[in-house]
Amino acid sequence: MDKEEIYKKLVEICGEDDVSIDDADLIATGDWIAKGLEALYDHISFKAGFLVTPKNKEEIIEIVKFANTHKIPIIPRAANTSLAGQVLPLKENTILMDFGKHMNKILEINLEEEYVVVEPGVEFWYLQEVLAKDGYFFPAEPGSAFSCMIGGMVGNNASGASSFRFGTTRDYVKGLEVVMADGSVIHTGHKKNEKSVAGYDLTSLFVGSEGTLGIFTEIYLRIKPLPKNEVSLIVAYKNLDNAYKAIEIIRQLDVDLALLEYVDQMTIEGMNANFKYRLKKGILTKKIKVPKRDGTLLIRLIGPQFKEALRKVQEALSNPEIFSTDLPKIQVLEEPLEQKHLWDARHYAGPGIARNMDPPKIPRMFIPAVLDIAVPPSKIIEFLKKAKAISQEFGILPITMGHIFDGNVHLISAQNVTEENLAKIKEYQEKILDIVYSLGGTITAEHGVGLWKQHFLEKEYGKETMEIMKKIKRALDPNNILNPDKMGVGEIPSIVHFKEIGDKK
Amino acid sequence: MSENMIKYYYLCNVCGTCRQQCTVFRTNLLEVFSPRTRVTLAGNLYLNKLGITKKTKETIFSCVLCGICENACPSGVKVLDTIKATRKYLIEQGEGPEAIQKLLDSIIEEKNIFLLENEDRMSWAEDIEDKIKDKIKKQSELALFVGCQESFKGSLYNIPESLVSIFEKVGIDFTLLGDEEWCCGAPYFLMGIRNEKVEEIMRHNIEKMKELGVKKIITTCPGCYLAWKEEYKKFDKELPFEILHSTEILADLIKEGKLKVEKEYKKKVIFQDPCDLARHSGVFEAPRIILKSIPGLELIELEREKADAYCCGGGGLCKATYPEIAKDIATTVANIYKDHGAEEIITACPACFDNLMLGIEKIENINIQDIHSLLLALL
Ligand SMILES: Cc1cc2nc3c(=O)[nH]c(=O)nc-3n(C[C@H](O)[C@H](O)[C@H](O)COP(=O)(O)OP(=O)(O)OC[C@H]3O[C@@H](n4cnc5c(N)ncnc54)[C@H](O)[C@@H]3O)c2cc1C
Ligand code: SF4
Ligand code: SF4
Repeated sequence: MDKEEIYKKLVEICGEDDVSIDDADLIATGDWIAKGLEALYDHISFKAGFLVTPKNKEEIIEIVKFANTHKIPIIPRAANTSLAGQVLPLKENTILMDFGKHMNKILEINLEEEYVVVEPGVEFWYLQEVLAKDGYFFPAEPGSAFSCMIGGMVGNNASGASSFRFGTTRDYVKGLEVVMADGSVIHTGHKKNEKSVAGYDLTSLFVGSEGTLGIFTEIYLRIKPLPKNEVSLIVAYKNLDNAYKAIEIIRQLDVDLALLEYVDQMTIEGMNANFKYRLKKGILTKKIKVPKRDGTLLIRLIGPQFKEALRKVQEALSNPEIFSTDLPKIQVLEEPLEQKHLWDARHYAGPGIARNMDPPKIPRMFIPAVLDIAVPPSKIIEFLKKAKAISQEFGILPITMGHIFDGNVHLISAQNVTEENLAKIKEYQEKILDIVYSLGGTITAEHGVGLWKQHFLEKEYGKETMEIMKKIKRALDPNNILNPDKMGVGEIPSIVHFKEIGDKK
Repeated sequence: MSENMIKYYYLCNVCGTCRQQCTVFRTNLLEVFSPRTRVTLAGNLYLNKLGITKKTKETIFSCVLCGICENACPSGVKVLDTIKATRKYLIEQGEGPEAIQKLLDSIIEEKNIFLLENEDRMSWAEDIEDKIKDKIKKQSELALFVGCQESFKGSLYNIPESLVSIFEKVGIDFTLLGDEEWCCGAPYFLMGIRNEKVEEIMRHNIEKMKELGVKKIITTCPGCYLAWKEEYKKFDKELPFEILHSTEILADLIKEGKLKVEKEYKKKVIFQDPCDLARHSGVFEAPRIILKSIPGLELIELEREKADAYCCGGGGLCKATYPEIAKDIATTVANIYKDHGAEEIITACPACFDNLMLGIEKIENINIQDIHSLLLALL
C-alpha cells in the first residue's frame, strides 16, 4: 500500500490533527546509539512513516485492524526514553503510535483497595504527585522517573535502584486492557483481587513485552502507602575492598534499607559537577559534595525505626576492629530536599560528567549491551573486579555504578562513533557478556532488550527457549506488525552488529 | 549556517531529562516540542539530513527561551544557543515567521517593535506629564530605559508611571531619552542575530546615554535588562554603565530605610520570577525584599521557585507567532499558582504581566498585579 493511501486512512480514523507526516515528527529522537550511527553513515536513517496520536481505544482498534490487513508496522510509544532502541522505527511506513498527547488520564484511584487505573500516557512523576496527596505511591521507580510514562514502564517492566526493596513494575501490574494485533480487545488479570491463580498469567507475559505483543489501553496498578521517614547517607572508604566489606556487613544488619548504591570515582565526579551547577544557579541552597574516594556507597534508610537503623549502620560501618586503617567519611542527609538532590545527582551522574568537558565534535554513543547487566548478587564483587580488568585491557573506562543487592551494574561509557571504535565496542561488549554469562547473569536487568541487545538472547536462554518466545509472538501477531524485529523474536537486523552496515560516508 | 546549530548535538545524549519540564512541551506533550528534539532537529538541519518543514519552524519559533531545559540538563547542553542559531538560519533562508520579520523590520525602520512613530515614545507618560516634562533628555547619572512594550502599550503604562511616581516621592533624580530611546534590540538577540543594523541601534542608545552623563541605567523590563547586561556588554566591552533592574534599586531603597510601606496588604501572593531576571541573571532576592516589606502580605514560595521557577510563556517571541501556545502556558501556571493558594500573582516584567492577564481570562478569583504599581499604592 502506498504512503498516500495509508495517510488518508489514518486521517479518516484519527482526523488530520492527530496524524503527521512531517519529517520533524518522524525522525528518531530518543536513542543516542541510533543518533551516532546516523551521523556516521549516510544511508542509515531511523525514520517512521507516520506519527499518530490516538484519542481513545476505538481509534487504536481501527488503526490496528487496518495495519494488520495491510501488514503495516506499528510501534507503540510512550515517553521515548528507552535505552535499548525499543521505539526505533526500522521499516518503511512504520506507524509510531504516541500516547502522550491524549491518552494521559488517570481513570480511577481506589485507596480503599489500593489500586489505580491509568491510560498508557500518564507520566510517572504526575501519578506520584497525585498519589502523594493521599499518602500513596507507585513504588517501581526507574532512573528516568522524571519523564517516563506508565505505558512505557509496563512495556519495559521498568525498575530501579530501590527494586531490591520494592520490586519491579511487574510486581504492581494487576491487570491490563490490551488491543491485540488483530484489533480484538482482551482483559488480563484482576484489578481488585489480591490473589488469583486462574489460568495462564497473561499479565506477566505482556509486562516487559516491549510493544511486540499488544497495545495496552488501560493499566491496573497496585499502589502502596508512602514510607514516612527516611534518611540518606554517603559512606566513603579510601579502599574499594572496604566498601565491599561494608556491603557484606549491611546485608546482615536488620534495617529497612531502601537504597544501596555503589558509585565509582567517575560517577562521583559527575554527581559533584551537578551539585556545583545547581548551587551556582541557586537551585541547591546548601553545598553537597561526595568525597572522591574509591569505596563510596550511597544509602537510604526508611521506616519508623529509621533513626535506630541509622545508628546501627553508622556504628557497624565504622567498626574500628574491621576498618581500623580506613575509617569511612560519613555524611548524613536528613532534609527531604537535600536527599532528593543527592539521588537526582546519582541518576544524572553519567551525563553529569559531560559538564566538565568541551562539546565533542564527532558523534558519540553508549556501549549498548553493557549498560545494565546483572549477575547473582553474591557474585557482584567478583564481576566488578573482572569487568575492571577487561575494561583496562580495552582502554575503556566506564562509569560504574550499581544496585548492589540486585547484582545490577551499569557500565556507562560514551564512545566516539568511528568505524574503528565500533569494532572495538563490539568486541568489548562480547567479552563483558562472557563474564556475565559465566557467572549466571543476564544482559538486561532493567532497560530491556529492544533492538541493540537481541542478538545475545539466544546465548542467555538457548535456542529452544527462544523458539518458544518466537512461537508466542507468531501466535499473537502472525503478521509481525507490532514493533517488528525487536526482542529477538523477529529477523535480527544486521545493524545490531555495527560494522556490517555498509559504506562509510 | 552557524556552528552553534551543531555544537551541542553530539553532547546531547537524548536522555530526555529536559522533556518533562519544558514550558512549551507541557502544553501539548508532543515529542517534537521537547528540547532534545529541538536540538536534534537543529543538528539534522545542519547536517543536511532534514529539510525545513512546518513542524521544524513551529518547534524552533515556539520556544519561549525560558532556559528551564538548560537547568535540567545534566550534560550542560546549551539548548538556547542552539535554538537561537537555528532561528537565525531559518530567517536567513526566508523561512522565518512573518510576524517576526515584521517586528525585526520595524525595529530598523521605526526604532520600535510596533511599527509606530518613535516620536510618540512618551505616550505612556501623558497622565504624569508634570512629573516628567523636565526629565526628558536632561543630564543625570541615572536613566530610566522604558522599553517598547511599556512605552507603547496602554495596558502597561502604569509600570513606568508607578516607578516614576515612587522616584518622585523618594526624591530620586533621573533622566529619560524620550524619542531618542530606540528599541534595545532584544528581538534580534532572541533570533540569534547581531548584524550591522542592530549594532547601529545599540550604538545609538549607548551614545545618547553617554551624552546625558548617565552612569546607571534602570529598566523595568527584564528583556531590556538582559539585552543591556549581556548583549550591549558583549558589543562594547567598556560599556560605562551599571545596569539595574528597577526592583534592585527599590530593594536598596527599602534596605536603606528610604522607602517604607506603611499600609497593610492582606493577600496571599505568588511572585512570578521573570526568566530574564531570575534564571538568566540570578536576580531573585530584590523583588522578594520588596514584597516581604509589605505588612500583611503573605508570599507563597513553591518548591519550584527562583532560578527553577515556572515560566509564564510570555518570552522568546513565541507569542508573536503562536499566541495560543503562550496563552495556554499562562493559564497552566496561573492554575498551578491558584492551586497553591495564591489570590494574586505579582509580576516584575511587562511580558509576564501581559501574558498572565490573557492566561487568567477564564480563571476566577485570581488577579495579576505589577510590583511597582502595588508598591506605589501602598506608600
Ligand atoms: C536517564 C535514564 C535512566 C533510566 N533508568 C532506568 C532504570 O533505572 N530502570 C529502567 O527500567 N529503565 C531505565 N531507563 C529506560 C527507560 O526510561 C524506562 O524503561 C522507561 O520505563 C521507559 O518508559 P517510556 O515511557 O519512555 O517508554 P518508551 O521508551 O516510549 O517505550 C518503552 C516500551 O514500551 C512499549 N510501549 C509503550 N507504550 C505501550 C503501550 N501502550 N502498549 C504496549 N507497549 C507500549 C514501547 O513499544 C517500548 O517497547 C532509563 C532511561 C534513561 C534515559
Ligand atoms: S537533558 Fe540535556 S542531554 Fe538530556 S536530552 Fe535534554 S538536552 Fe539532551
Ligand atoms: S527554553 Fe523553555 S521552551 Fe525552550 S526548549 Fe527550553 S524549556 Fe522548552
